[in-house]
Amino acid sequence: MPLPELADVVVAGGGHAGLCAAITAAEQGRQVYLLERAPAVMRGGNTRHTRNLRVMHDGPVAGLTGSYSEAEFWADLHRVTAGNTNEPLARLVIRESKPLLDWLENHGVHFQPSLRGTLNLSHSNAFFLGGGCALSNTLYQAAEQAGVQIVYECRVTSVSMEGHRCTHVSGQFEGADFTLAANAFVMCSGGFQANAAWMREAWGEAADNFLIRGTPYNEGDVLRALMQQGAATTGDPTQCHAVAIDARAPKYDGGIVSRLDCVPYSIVVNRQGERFYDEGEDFWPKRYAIWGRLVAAQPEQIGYAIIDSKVTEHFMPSVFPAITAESIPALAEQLELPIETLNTTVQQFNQAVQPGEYHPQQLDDCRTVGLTPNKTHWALPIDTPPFYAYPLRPGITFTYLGLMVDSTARVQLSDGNACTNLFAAGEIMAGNILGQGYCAGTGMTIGGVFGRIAGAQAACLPS
Amino acid sequence: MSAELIASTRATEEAERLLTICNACRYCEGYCPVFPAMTEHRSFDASTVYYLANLCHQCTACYHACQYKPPHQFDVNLPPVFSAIRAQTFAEFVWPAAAAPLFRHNGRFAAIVVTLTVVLLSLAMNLWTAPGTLASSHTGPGAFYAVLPHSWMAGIAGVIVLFGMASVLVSSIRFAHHCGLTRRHLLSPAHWRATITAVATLQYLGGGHGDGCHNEDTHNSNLRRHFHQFTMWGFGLCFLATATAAVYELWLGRLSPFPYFSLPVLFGTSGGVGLVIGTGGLLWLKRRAHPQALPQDASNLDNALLVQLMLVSVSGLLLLALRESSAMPWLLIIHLGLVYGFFVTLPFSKFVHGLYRTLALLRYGPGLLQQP
Ligand SMILES: Cc1cc2nc3c(=O)[nH]c(=O)nc-3n(C[C@H](O)[C@H](O)[C@H](O)COP(=O)(O)OP(=O)(O)OC[C@H]3O[C@@H](n4cnc5c(N)ncnc54)[C@H](O)[C@@H]3O)c2cc1C
Ligand code: SF4
Ligand code: SF4
Repeated sequence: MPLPELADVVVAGGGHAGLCAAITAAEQGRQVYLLERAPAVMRGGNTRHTRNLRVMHDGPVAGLTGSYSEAEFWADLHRVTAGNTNEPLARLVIRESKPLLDWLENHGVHFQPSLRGTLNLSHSNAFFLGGGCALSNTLYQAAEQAGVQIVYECRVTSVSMEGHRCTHVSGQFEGADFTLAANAFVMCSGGFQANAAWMREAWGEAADNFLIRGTPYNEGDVLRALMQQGAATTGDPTQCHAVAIDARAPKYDGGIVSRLDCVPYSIVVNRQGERFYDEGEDFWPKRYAIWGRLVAAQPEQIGYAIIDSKVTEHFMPSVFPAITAESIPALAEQLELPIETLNTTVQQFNQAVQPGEYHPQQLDDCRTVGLTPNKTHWALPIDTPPFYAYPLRPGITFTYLGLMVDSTARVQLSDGNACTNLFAAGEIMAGNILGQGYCAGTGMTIGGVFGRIAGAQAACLPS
Repeated sequence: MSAELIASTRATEEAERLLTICNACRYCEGYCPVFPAMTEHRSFDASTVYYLANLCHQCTACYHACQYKPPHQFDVNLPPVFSAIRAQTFAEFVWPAAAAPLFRHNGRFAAIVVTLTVVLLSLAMNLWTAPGTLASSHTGPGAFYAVLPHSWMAGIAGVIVLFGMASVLVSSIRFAHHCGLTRRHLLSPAHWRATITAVATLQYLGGGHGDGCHNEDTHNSNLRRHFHQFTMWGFGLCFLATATAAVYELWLGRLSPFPYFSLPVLFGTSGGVGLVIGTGGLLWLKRRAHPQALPQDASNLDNALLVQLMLVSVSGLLLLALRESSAMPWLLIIHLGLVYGFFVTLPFSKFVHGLYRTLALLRYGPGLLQQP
């Protein structure tokens, strides 16, 4: 598809946020160009890896059970961010979440009851039938129907401003440079987690050992370009959603299947063969997001979850086979850990385990005493061969450093003014709401809500 | 190992690899019974893989929905792998076992058989009928038997059909046994209820939401479901036509051809028309199918069955339309040749997928999916 010189609305990035913005603007009669960096088969950014969004609702809809009020949603968000959130924007997201759900359904997105093994989310999170890639396919179809011009393999790398107005974007398309002017711009190109150099700037060399759970295309091109143009930002570059995933996952795009759910039933040791955190602090869905940082803080950014054959059936199967041995020393040898230390760690752990009643699905009373750190739940002696290990690395979902926006999704400048015709939605501005921490499904809700707002605002600007 | 066996082992291994990925993902849980059934396992032996593959009806939704589809390095593309494994189950459990290779070049096999039955029947008729019989019109009760005596017509059909029924019965039992269907499933009213509903309405071809399957791209459409329904019910009606015709002839003493508004002709006509629409539609959809998610299969299993059903029904309808004319004898011979050919190949054709799939559904039972 050839690019024109001028469009009504340009949307950069074709994930959930960009699609919501593009469809909304096109349905209001605007001629919209959606510029997506990836080729068509890899379109949809991190959105293709998602499974649900968090929705406030007052009765069963779209596979959701019960109800989930504004107060509950707000309490959850407030708790996970430790108050590090912009309340008016957060409440806007919460209130607009149900209309977003209806809008998605009207545009052909189907939902299903919460996936098996995720019952704790059944009243708050609506699951996409087929997952985020299916959602993205459906929205691409809706975008085509609405007349959005979709341009693949088109990378936006710079943004030109005149005062508070954005005049054009430029970058590469089909091996050549392009420049595209428009009446309004919506930036939806995600965070910068896939940009190895930027991650190293923020984290030092440790970043080289991070795995990126989602798309390799979110390198923060637009974010950086706008920062250079004086856009105000929120959050610091080390804030991100990071979980512990299987170290054998690919560097990019490993997605959901590289997660490991065995940690609460294991002991986790570092490269030196020593434990470093309470593996049984809480249910895994409530803790998995702190383990990315915990592992990132260990030498060489690696950890090893070790279990014995008693507990293998108590967690979701993982995609990579466990490393297996008949004895702890043999396991240590396979993992190339110091044999003596690992043996001692396991022995000390086993001796510290207190009698209790083991309940894999409840906060039980199986714990250790006298260890630093103790394991406070699901502590059973590791004594029944074969023994199994899963290597862990930090897996980065997305970064929070983002463009500061207002409730109209307008990008704010560091001089205190708002851009007149430049909007942002999705991961690129999620940091306004997620200053830190995370609750499952908010990424897609923020992207969809702000995408729709941005699209509507962009469409109603006089040309 | 023979090339065939190596290929089949690879398909099973590939399925195990893919299912391990899917089982850690589960995003496709709502599309069809494959995924809920999968979650009951942590590892996948050949018998589980056979069971799951026969639960799959190739809607390709899970290909398009997959974030790991090629070019992703995980290279997840279930529908063609399941399709290969289904073909493998047909070959593996067929009785007699010596017929297994027939599934490999199914199109060629069907073409040879049908040509043979039509040609042999024509030659035989040319030799044995009184001169002029085949060139003139015959009307009134028993007209068909003036061309080919009733005992011959029914006798040949009886032998072929009885053999076919015995074969598919034994094959099905072998498959059922291998895919883990047990007495518990067979004795459960809930399992039968769920299976009958699923088969009668082709429930799972609704795509998990009722809007239908994918074909050439990610658009949902119930066309495939409807064409499949035309085919299935068309076949059923033709079967009914034959059964009522037998009742008329054996017990009511009325000889075919029957009047246009008699039960056998009404059933046969509507069934024939249904089959033409259904098989034609399915063949048309197949030609437009997404090349990666639904690659053309080299063995032509689908095409062989669909084209045969189409030929049988078109020739049957033509015979009906022209039965008063002098073209009748040759049309009858061709139609009978095609019908005989169809029933000879039936136990060694895609036809068995209906039985295997029903048995797999019987094992699955009400499952955990509620679908519109
Ligand atoms: C494995 C995984 C699972 C997740 N699960 C969930 C979940 O279940 N629920 C939830 O709410 N959130 C989840 N998230 C987070 C969620 O993916 C994001 O919050 C959401 O997708 C953000 O949408 P977006 O449109 O802003 O970004 P994306 O979907 O990442 O889209 C950004 C798009 O911009 C394109 N792009 C990047 N740079 C450029 C450029 N320079 N020029 C043009 N285009 C560009 C990219 O190719 C991409 O298509 C998950 C994330 C991951 C990685
Ligand atoms: S086909 Fe892909 S998206 Fe569907 S369950 Fe399997 S891995 Fe997940
Ligand atoms: S192709 Fe359709 S029926 Fe087969 S496994 Fe995938 S979703 Fe299920």
